[in-house]
Amino acid sequence: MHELSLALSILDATSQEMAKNDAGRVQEIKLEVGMLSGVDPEALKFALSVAMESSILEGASVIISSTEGVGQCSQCDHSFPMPEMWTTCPVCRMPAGKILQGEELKIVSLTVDR
Amino acid sequence: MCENCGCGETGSYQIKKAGQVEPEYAHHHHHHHENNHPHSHGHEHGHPHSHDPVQELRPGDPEQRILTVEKNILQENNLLAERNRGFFEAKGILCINLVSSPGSGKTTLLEHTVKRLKKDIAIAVIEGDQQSMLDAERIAELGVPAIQINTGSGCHLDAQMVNHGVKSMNIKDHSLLFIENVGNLVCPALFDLGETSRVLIMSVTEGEDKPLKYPFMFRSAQLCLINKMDLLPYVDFNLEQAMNNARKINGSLEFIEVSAKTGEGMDCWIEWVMDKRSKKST
Repeated sequence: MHELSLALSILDATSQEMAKNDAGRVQEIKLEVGMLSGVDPEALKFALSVAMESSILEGASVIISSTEGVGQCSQCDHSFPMPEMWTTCPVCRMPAGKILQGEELKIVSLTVDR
Repeated sequence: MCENCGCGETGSYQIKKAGQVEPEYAHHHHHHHENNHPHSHGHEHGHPHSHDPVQELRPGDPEQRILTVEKNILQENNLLAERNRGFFEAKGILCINLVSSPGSGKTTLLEHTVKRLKKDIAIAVIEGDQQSMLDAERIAELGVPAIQINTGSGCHLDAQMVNHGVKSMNIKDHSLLFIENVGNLVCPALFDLGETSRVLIMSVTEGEDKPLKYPFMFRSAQLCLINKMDLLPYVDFNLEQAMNNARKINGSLEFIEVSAKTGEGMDCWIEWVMDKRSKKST
């Protein structure tokens, strides 16, 4: 259910951007959700569909792109794909020390009427 | 609907002190704007720079433009969490965020921790639950200040709730502040509260596959307390496997085996807390 909190944060951030840019109606919002971010894109889409009703985002299309997980081995520094949080290094079987990619959770852009 | 302003927002929460009927603080809404009216968000700068995002024309449509935002969805929470962290640092407060699934024994463990430490250290507790004052009342009975944050329909505490909670408490310098998060291994993982350390409590009555099922929480914690160790002989819990699963996700996670009920391992946990506290004050 944290997706609803995120949806509300998205609405807040959007209204700030629109005020700053004196923008018209939002036609499209692009989001990026990393596969290791802990957020389910489908659940977020659903929460957004509810939160967007009667809001500044009403009627806007939501595009969510997902970023694959990439980790860096805590032992040998090798970078490797991490489809799951528990994927270990294929070289030395150690867990990832750092997650290089896949934790993204951001608003990328808004397409608005002039 | 929000009772304070009628804004239609359902995500409200209440903060109450133990023994108090009227809430200390009750309101929360992420405002959304029903229409597109121009307004300001009160944002001042003493230095010249532009906050305008890169703008480009939408190809083929002169009526539309694209605003590049590139903003973390959790940015507001993360900024507030940093403010909380700064406040804790300035006052020498060690803040521990206790997270777990429901029924892991968080409150019992906290009660025993408070009992052991309250003679020597000022302690304050923030309890998070969807409903009821039960946990804050249990802690207040021990004679330490405790407030309850009821998240209502919410499934986690966020930095704003903690910010309001802390402001309502008048916490002494060099205190130990425990935040008992809503029992939930999913949602609280994403929300930084500004804590110094995040401690995850897992009990032997849960499955050893918990770390794999809820990896985000295990990744975000610094210490894992394995509670209810007194029940280990009676349950099918593979302790070694549970730890190995957690290490796959978080190689630097520390473990302490405890039983809040029998007191087993509690010395080790108290030592961990005191060690964090002494590192903080140096």
